[in-house]
This record gives sequence, structure tokens and C-alpha cells, in this order.
Amino acid sequence: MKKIFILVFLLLCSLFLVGCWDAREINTLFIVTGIAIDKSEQEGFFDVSVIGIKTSPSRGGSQSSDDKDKKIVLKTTTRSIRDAFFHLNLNYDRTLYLQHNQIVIFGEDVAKDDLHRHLEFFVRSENSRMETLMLIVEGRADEVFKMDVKQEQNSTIYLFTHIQTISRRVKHYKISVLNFIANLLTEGFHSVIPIFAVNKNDDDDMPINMTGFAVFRNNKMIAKITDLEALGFVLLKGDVKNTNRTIISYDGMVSFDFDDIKTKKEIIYKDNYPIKIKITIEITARVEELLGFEKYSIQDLNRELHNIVQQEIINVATQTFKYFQELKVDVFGIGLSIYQHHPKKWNNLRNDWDNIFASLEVEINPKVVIKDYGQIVSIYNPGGVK
Amino acid sequence: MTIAETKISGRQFMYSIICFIQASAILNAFISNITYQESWLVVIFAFIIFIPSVFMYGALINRFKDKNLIQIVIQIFGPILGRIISVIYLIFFLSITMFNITDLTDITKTSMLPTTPYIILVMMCILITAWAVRSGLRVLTIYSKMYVFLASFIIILSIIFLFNVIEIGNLFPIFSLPLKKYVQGIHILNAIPFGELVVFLLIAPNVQMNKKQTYKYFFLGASIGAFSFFLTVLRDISVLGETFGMFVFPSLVAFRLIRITEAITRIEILFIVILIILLIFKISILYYVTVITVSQIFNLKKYKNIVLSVGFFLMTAAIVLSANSIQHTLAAQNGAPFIWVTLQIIFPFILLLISLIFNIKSPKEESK
Repeated sequence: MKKIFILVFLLLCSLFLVGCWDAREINTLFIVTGIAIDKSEQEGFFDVSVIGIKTSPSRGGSQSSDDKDKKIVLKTTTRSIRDAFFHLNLNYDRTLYLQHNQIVIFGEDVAKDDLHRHLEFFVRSENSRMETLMLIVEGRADEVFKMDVKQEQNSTIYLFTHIQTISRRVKHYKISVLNFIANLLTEGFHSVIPIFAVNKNDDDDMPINMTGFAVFRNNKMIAKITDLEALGFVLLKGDVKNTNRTIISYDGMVSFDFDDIKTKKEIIYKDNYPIKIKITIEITARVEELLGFEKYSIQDLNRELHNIVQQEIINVATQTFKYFQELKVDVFGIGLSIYQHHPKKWNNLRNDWDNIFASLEVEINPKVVIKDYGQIVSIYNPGGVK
Repeated sequence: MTIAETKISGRQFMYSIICFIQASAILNAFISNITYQESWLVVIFAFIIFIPSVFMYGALINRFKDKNLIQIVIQIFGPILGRIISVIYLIFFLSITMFNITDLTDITKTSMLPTTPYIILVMMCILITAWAVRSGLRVLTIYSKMYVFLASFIIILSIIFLFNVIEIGNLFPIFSLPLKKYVQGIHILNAIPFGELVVFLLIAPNVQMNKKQTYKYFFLGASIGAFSFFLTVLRDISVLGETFGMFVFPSLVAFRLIRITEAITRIEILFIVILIILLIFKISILYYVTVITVSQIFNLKKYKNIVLSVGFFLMTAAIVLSANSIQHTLAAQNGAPFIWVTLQIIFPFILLLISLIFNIKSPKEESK
């Protein structure tokens, strides 16, 4: 009897003493799904916009017209992120709930200025989650919230789903707050963040396009890589499940899917000083589309395509590597590799690493296996297409 | 003579030791910002260095089979000096109980109940643990086996779920820090959690085990606990990389990264639940040991009568003296280990040495 009394007492305690303070009803919360940070016209101030989904009790029957527009955007201009949330909470009837935030979007101007000062809040706040994705938008970040997305409830859910989907193929497209902070703290390594551009054409149902990567030196965006360099970056980083490349040669056009890209880096030292980097890129290629090449027999075609793809990888990777050498940013983790495996050598290189990286000789060794030609074995050219 | 009449088995004793270390293992922030990505290495070295202490505890238990640490101190140093030393031990037990109550309330506030007043959380913790302590050692330790399996299962499950974000490279470089950092890290780990095992010297007389089993269960318990600690640190470093040293609860951040499709996300609640279970277990043991020490110092026949009084003191002390997480970590890194190691390792060693030199044993051992 006594034990039952104690048990009931403890249960009542947990019911009445704890729940009161932390009770959170859904109709009192503004569930944030995205945050956009832009530079304000006022010096030293920032425009902070948050987007959330409209939460309402579930109703039976068909969807009402209210349900169609479920996004709500709140905006304020403050000096810090914490101030922004304080201000928004003060002036809105619901409490901002950050636990379901999917994405933090930075405008290009903010990224070029100082990203770290804005991230401090996300790292420190107990309401924020470190796995929240980060991305940069060309122009202003709050433009993303104005996008009309038909498939999802709002633009940040669309973007989140988009990044999740593409990162299954190329994991480098997905950078979380934790990844970026870890990269900032890691020696001998600079970071990139995917960059997007809002499509202003209203007729287009693809409201936002991924244009490449924003390149960072420490906490500042210093450049943007698109198309060729973006592909080169992916090839040089390795650990990629799938990407593709269309190559045009004198004999025709061929589209490859590159699967299971693995990269190995070997650093050549002279007197404990790195002078050369040998990068081996292993790729399993699949021919997805082939136009032209009529003059080749099947055996010769295989050899020719092999040569074409090898040469393309050498060109793209070398060009990209040289581009990053010009920028003096080691985004490939060569410095990190020295730091991890030869910490004593790294002590002597640490202070001048950007210059050493820029002077490294690079050798690209592609190892391509063309594994698949699709479901036809001959060259498809029924009408003699040229 | 022991104050507590109940006896537990050697296996229960072993599982209790494992639980005790696992509770501290999950809170690995003590060394994270000292030895950073090399903390996994420090865990290995710290345990290797701690192994002789395990055998020293075993030898002390075997030499004074029916006496707990306080009784040994009083037997060797006499009633006055012995009691003075016992009071120092009492302060030590009170401090670590308080620290652990603070840990529990901190993680509960951080992860689940941010606006619930501190006093309510401390009160709930004291009420539950007081109930457990009053029920006796057998009830206290009966579920230790289940907790160990549950905690181990969750550690292994988390490693599997985090496999896609684990970067082995994060564990390197090794031996890149100044020597004093390793010494500091090893020293801290020898105080928290390994040295804290000294509390089991107060439980040992209530354990049914022979001399051989004493060494076996103590060593196995400490080894499995240390291995759990090692796995936890290894997982957190390989997942968090350079940010490992930044967080108050690195494991909580690591758990938050688990994402198996859209269906299995936000499972950090598993971590929080197991941490709360383990910490409640650890606090119960520490609370029990504190109560036993008070009873022994004041020569009380029954310890149950003072459980709530000690609990009230602990509650007040935890509320008044509670520090924020930074102060807590700093205390655990700088001040506490120096004082604690004296009581955890050096003093028991002196006790063993004196008992060997002057051939002091418990009466039971002498009659053999």
C-alpha cells in the first residue's frame, strides 16, 4: 500500500510539477522550416527572414482553399540572429520553434562578409540542430521564400528535399552547420557550400537551380565554381556515387554516367617538403547516350571512348586543381592529409600552406572502366544522323 | 559488521561497476577540449594506468572481507583520526553525488525540459533515488544487468546508424599534442570516471564473492565499462571531428545526426533516456554510499532513517552550489582531479600498504 502511494505520488509529481513549464501546444508554435539571412541596407544590420508552415487542426473532407497557401514568412532587421528571434517572438502571436528547421540560407553578400558570426547562434543555441543544412543563394537569400513551389508546402521543404535527393548521388552537395564548422576548425582544409540561383521566370516550375559551389577561405566566400570546375571538384574529392558528363569529340557526342568515383591522393616529398601530388581517380563509367562514331567497330569504339573519357577527366581535373591553386584554397584536404598522417612535417608547413599548395605539381591518373553500354550493342544510327 | 544486511551477487557487483562507468562515459566532455581528437588514445592509456588500482581495490576488499572503506579507515587509524579521514571521504562522496545530480539536471534541461525549474528536477531525482536507496542494495543493483545491455545496445546501434557520417580520418593525427596534455587527460580520466570506482569499496562487504572472484568481477566490470567509454569517445570523435571539443554533450550532438531515411530521425531521445537511467543508477549508488558513510561515522545501526535527511542536504547543496556547465567542466578538469585522486587512489594505496606492513586484517581474515 505504501509503495503504491509513493508510486502514485511520484506519478502525480511528474504530471503536475514538470509538464506545466515545458508544455508546448502546436497551436502556440510557429514551426520554422527555413531561415534566410541577408545584408541590410543599414550598416551593421541584417535582414533575417523565417519561413514556417501553417499548422491547423486536421479536418476531414476535401482540402480547403486556406490549405493551399500554407507558408508564412516573417522578417525583421537586427544586428544579430538572437535579436531577430527575440524581436519576432515579441511581435508575433506564436513562439518560433527551431527544432524542425531544415535549412539556413545565406545571401551572397553575407557569405562574402563573414559567415561565422551568424553561425555562432546556431552552434550555441539549444533549440537549434547542428544537422541543419546550409546553402548560399546568388543575390538575396529571402528571394527563396518568394518562390512558388507546387510540389511541396514551401520553398525550404522543396530545397531540403532537393538537396537530400542530389546528395544521395554526390554527398558533397550536402553541407550541414556541423560540417561547415568542423571544416572551419580543421587544419589544412577549406570548405565549399552549394550555391543556388532563384529562377525568376514565372513560367518555369523549377523555381531554383543549383549553379555550383561557393568557395570559402576560412569564414569568407571568395569565389564561385560552376559547371566544369564543379564537376572537377566532385571528381577530385571522390567518394561520389554518381554524376555525369557529356563529351563532344570530332567523331560524335557521348554522355557518360560516372559511378562509384574513388580518389586516392599521394603526396611526393622532397626534403620533407611536398612538391607534387598524384591523384588517382577511379571511375566506373556507363554510356548513356551516343551519337556519331559510325566509323568505329565495336572493339575500336570501346578503345576510343576509353581514351576520350580518360582525357576528359585529366583535362577537367587538372584545370579545376589549377583554378583552386590560383585561389590558394586547399578544398581537397591535402594539407589535412599531411596534418593527420605526418603532424611533425605539418608543423613546418602550417603557416605557409596556402602558398605551398599553390606551387604543388599535379598529376592526374584516371582509371576508367567502361562497364555498360546500355541495352544495345551496336551504334544506333537508323537515319544516318550526322 | 555491515550496516546494510542485504547481499548481492558478484555478477550484480560487476554490472553495477559497468553501469557506473557507462554513466560517466556518455558525458565525455571532461577531456574533449583538452585532448581533442586524441581523446580515444587517452582513454586507452588512462585505463592501462588504472589497472593496478583495480587490483589494489581487490586486494583491499579481500584483506578486509567484511569491512567497508570507512570501517577499514577507522580500524587502521583509530576512532578519532579514522573519523576525521572519514569526514573527508564523506565530503568527497557528497561532492561527486552533487556533480552527478547537476549533470542529470543539466542534460534534462538541455534536451527535454528547458523551462522546468532546476529545483523540481533535483527534487524528482532525489525522491526517486531516495526511494531506491531505502529499498537497499539488492533492489538498487537488481536491474544493473538490464541497464548495461540496454546502454551497450544503444551504443552499438548508434555506431551502426552513424556509419555513413563516420570519418576515420578524424581520429588522426596521434601523438601531436604536448606531453602535458596527455598527462592531464590521463589524470582526469583516472579521477573521473575510473577513480570513482573507489565507492565500490563501501559496497564490497555486501557482495557474495570469493577472493578470486573479487579480482575477476572488479577487473571485468572496469574493463567492460572502459571499453564502452572507449567506443563512445571513438564514435563521437569520428563523427564530430574537430567540433568534438566544442560541445557540453558531444554524444547528444552525435545522436542528433542519425538519419536513416525520413523515418528514423531524431532518435536522440534514446540517448537521453539511457543517460537518465544510467545517471539515476549512478546517483543512487553514490547516494547509498554517502548514507552508509554518515551512518558509519556516527555509528548508526540503521542507515534507512537518515536517507531522506541526507537527500534533503544533497538537494539543497545541489541547488545552492550548482555551477553552470562551463564551471562544472572546468572544476572537473582543473581542481577536482587533484584532490579526488588522493582519495581515490593514493589513500587506498596507503591503507593497503599499512595493512600489509603491520599485518592488519579484518578479524574474519585473521581467524583463517
